[in-house]
Amino acid sequence: MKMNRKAICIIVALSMSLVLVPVLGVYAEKEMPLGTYMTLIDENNNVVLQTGTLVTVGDQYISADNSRYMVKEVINNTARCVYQGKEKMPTVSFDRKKNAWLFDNSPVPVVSSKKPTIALYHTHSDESYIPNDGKESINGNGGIYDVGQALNKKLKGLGFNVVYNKNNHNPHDINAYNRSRRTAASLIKQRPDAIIDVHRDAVPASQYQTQVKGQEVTKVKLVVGSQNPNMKTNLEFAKRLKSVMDRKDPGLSNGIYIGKGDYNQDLSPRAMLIEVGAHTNSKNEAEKGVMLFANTLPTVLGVSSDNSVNKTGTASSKASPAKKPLSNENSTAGTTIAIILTVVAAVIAGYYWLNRRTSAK
Amino acid sequence: MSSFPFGLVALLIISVLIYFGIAHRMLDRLHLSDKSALAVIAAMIIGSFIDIPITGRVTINLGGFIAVILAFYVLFAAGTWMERTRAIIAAAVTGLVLFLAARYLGAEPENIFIDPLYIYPIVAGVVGYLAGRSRRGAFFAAVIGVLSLDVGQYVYLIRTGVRGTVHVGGAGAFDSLVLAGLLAVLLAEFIGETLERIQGGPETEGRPEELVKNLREPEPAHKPLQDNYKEGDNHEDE
Repeated sequence: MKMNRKAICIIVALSMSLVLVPVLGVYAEKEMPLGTYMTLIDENNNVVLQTGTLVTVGDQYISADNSRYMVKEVINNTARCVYQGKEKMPTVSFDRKKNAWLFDNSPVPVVSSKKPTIALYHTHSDESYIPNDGKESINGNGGIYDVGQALNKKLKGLGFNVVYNKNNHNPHDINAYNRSRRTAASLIKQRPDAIIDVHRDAVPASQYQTQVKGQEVTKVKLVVGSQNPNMKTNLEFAKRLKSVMDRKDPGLSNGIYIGKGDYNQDLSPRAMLIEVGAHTNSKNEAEKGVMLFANTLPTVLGVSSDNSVNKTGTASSKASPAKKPLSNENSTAGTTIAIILTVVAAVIAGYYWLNRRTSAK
Repeated sequence: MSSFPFGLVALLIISVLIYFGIAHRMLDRLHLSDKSALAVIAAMIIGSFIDIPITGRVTINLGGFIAVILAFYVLFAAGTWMERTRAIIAAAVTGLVLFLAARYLGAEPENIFIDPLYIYPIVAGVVGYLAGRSRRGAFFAAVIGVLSLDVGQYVYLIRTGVRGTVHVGGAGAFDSLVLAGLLAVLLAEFIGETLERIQGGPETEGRPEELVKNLREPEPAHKPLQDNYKEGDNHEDE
């Protein structure tokens, strides 16, 4: 059966409009003006979260108390969520005998004699804090750099080697991640153990305002992109960070948001986007919050608390080296590998099906 | 990465191998020979480590920029002037659509149904294929369309006077320039092959004999050893 060529062209043109119309029309209307935000509510109309980013059906949120919600419906600026149950989080404990942190009763694998590296950058270079910076956005040099600098200093003090890239990725549009991808890729060349993109949110201050051990700080939210092949391993990393935050500084975590996007997290299984406070919060409190967040990284990545990297196998070391790698991290990596291989196998099978004996006789 | 457990290291290695495997197949579809496709990939990997400052505001990463060089190579290697013209128009349309997307869409990836990283090749793949119904057209449209975003940022930085540098192809082999080009070829391949299947094979009537000849199944690489095999082969041709 042969179809008319014109008909085929019309089908393709219609398919193209189906792709482009949502891109240029429907979704353009949904851009949120400054000062508006999305509110996530549960089945009983309790507010679960407020966020400055647009929420879409299928997004998920693991709240501060580890309840998992999934967005089922979005009406204007309200997203109706369904409670999915308690998320299974890694258990964190401290073994006084070994002087080492344990995840799910397995010791954290202690890094080699080389200092572990953390890479930092800001995709949205203009993000600022109104109480200190005077406005919510400063082109190319926002207050977010001060928060990044506080994190940088604290991590260095904790014994990390930090590579902090201060590139400007403005204008603040959808291509900002395209530009920051180049920054992230250049940082990856330095083989960091984790790479962190530091942001601030755009919601009322109360969403992030908190007290931790008597001091006023802002909370820290972790964001994982679901359109990224490393999503499972990134989420596992986020869950470890949250568990340690909950153990060391209860109240500091503002949960884990799993939203659409890639956020350059395909570049590393330990890539993380963090939201430190909102534009309405005090920058000083955001700096304090991010410094508390820094305290979680030595535990998750295997650095001792005596301001130096653990020496594997040395008697003088405070922490004992782990003999086996973290089982959960390995198993999520294994699942990710299985998913990638399945997708590749399906694509290859489809490709060969399309190509079987279509040649002209 | 010194603290990465075995699983994460394996994940990274497998991802990179699959990525370059797919890249090789896609370059193959651009009428590059196996060896040239491998050479291009090797050049991309090595080039990823080489940054060339052009001006105070512009730096070019050789690995990512190879996609731009390749785009012009496939443009000039295109069959006809008509195909080249269509590819150039497709690149202009892609650039315009991406510019409009940046202008009218929100700043966050959540604001659109799919990450911008994948919007580039979707737009370029569809526009490139429609304009030229060619993989080479799709590749050129994608790469040059994404490159136009960098030109846009350069103009923005100069106009506003804020600090900042344009890193063309800065993520090397993993840059959106390269990803967009490869995925656009994949998409053009998918659309093209699906349409061909729908219409029951490629259209050959009224086409030059030279083009039709290339559509046929390749001849066996070696002479058949047995007579009955030869008979079977003849039977199939009837």
